[in-house]
This record gives sequence, structure tokens and C-alpha cells, in this order.
Amino acid sequence: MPEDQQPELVESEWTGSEWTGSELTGQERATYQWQMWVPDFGEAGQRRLKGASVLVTRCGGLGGVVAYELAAAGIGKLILAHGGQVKYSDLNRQLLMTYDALGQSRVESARRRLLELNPRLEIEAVAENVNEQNVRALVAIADVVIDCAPLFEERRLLNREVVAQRKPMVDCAMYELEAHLTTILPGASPCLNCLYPEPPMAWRREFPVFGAVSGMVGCLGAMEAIKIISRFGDTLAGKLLACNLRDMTFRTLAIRRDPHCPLCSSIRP
Amino acid sequence: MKIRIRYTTQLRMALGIDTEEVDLPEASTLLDLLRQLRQQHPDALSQYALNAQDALQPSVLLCVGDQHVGDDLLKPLHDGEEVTILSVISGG
Repeated sequence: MPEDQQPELVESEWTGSEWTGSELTGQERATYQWQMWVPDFGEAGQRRLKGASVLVTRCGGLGGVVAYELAAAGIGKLILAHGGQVKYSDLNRQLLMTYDALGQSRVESARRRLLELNPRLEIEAVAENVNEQNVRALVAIADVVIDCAPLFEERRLLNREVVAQRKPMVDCAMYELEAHLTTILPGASPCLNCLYPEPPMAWRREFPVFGAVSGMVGCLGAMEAIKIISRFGDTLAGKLLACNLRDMTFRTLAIRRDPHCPLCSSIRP
Repeated sequence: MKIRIRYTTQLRMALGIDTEEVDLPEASTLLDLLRQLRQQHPDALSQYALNAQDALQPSVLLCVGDQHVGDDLLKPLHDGEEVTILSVISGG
């Protein structure tokens, strides 16, 4: 579909940065041929993916699948933030970690695995979790942020920065066989602070988890980012997808902004 | 009137049930519902939904049907509606 006939993003009036995209090589056309057949995506969408940078933090069970699917789809650059070393307990779900990498840097294992799939991918690997010292710079170099962090403090920092920098963020979370997903478009949708101004009173960092659940959410998160960047389809801006794989129920809840949110209430699309 | 309640994540695990149905007088509000639930399940509901001061815990989303209602606890309920108490989750 010609560039000037690309549909506008229908879910909101958010007008973020324009990704003009980059020309595709012959190898890229061959690799992405089947997805370029998707209506409303086409070569223009593929070029936008190639020209975009996405921050994925962290890259474990959920973020690892996000990163892998974005790499498979032809994203131009990934910024990966994840500290620590590979542990045995990672290997039931963290698909970018390998048995051979036990005890080694998680983010380097992720880099290696992603480049095996897509050697054209530019990767900036940061062997740290998001923190107060690095969050501003990490968000600044990304076009889109995908929050796959397990700790509320990390998510709070990411939310604060994407709102301040007016960057879209896909927020993904899971617990046991349940998962939540939403897309934050600052000024056009609720931010995380609108929904959860404080962390829960009691939260246990370790929880029951199957890789199939985190993988599913990771795929959904990747697809949200692809739609944002390529400007097609309907995102989850203003909605919360609540999944329960125990009974296979999937609900889309309409969520609202907090008119008194100290972070985003003054922002308009 | 009959109201169906759907519990999720931590509240669901604390209670050991996914759903339940309660009887409320006509013209009851969300606050009336939560108070009644807190009476039935004091520890779990106080921790994950409605505190002792009748304020919604900040880590909870309340939905009537598929609509997030914010902190509008005085929203009236109607016979047959479903209320979801959705507590925030974090993990990957």
C-alpha cells in the first residue's frame, strides 16, 4: 500500500514521532515477505520496523520472547536491559537463556541468541536492570518501550520516564496463569500511575510460572509494539487485556485515566 | 438483587475461589458490596480490596462488567451485574 494511503492509528489521537523507515535490502525482502502480505502493514510497515528502536526491560521469560519476536519481525534496533547471570530456575521460561550460559551474563546470552536469528539486528545490551540512574538515558534512545520488569519500582520508573518523554510503552505482566497487558500512550491513555499509584501491600517476588504463559504475553507485547511502530491495527491503549490461561478466558477491560494523576493528567494528545 | 463477583490473581489465591454470587438490597453501591465482602472475608478483602477506612487499596482495579470504574465506590449496582476485583500483578 502506498505510503500516503497508510491508515491512521485508529485507537487514539496520539501523534508520536514519525518513523520514516529505511529501505529494505533484497535479503530483508526475502525474509519478511510473508508478513509484508499482511493488509495495512506491507513494505511501509516493514521499513518502519527497520527504522525503529525498542527498549525491552527485562529480557527474561516475558521480555525474552518480546525481544525474539521483534527480532524475527525485523526491528532495526533493540536495547536490552537485564542484570545478573543465568540460573537454573530461568530455564523453564527464559528462552534467550541457555544451559551452556549458566552462570554467565543474561543479557549477553540474549544478545547471542537474537543474533543467531537475525544477524542484521543492532543490539545495545545493558547488563543492568532499570534503575534511577539509567532509566532516563535508556528511554531516551528508544522509540518504544516494552516493560517486562518483575518489580514495581522498575515499572514505576519506566512509567515516569515514558510520560515525561512522551514515549509509548507496552506494559506486560504475569502471575501464575494470569496475565495483564496494556499500551500507554502518554496523554491519550491511562498511565501506570493512573491505574496503580502505589504498589500492593504484599507482593512476593517469586511466583508460580509456566513459560507458556510468559511466552504468550511476550508475543502479545511484541505485536503491540509492531502495531505502534507500523501504524496499523488497534492497540490496547485505553484497554487492559486480562488473560487467564487456567480457564482460557480473555477479557478486554476499558480503563480510564485518573483526572488527578500527578504524572499525566496535564498532558493532552 | 444478585451480583456476581470475579476475583483475580492474589485475591483469588488468598480466597481460593474464582467467583461467588451475593445478594444485595436494591440500590446498593459498590461500597456496599465491598463492605459485605469484607465482612465475609475480612483478611483478604482488607488486604487486597477495601481497607478499614473504606478506601480502595491503591493496587486494585474495580470493574463493573468490562468497564473500569476508578474509585467511584458510590456507583450503584444493578441486578445481574458482574464486578471484577483485579489486583495488580508484576512478573515475567
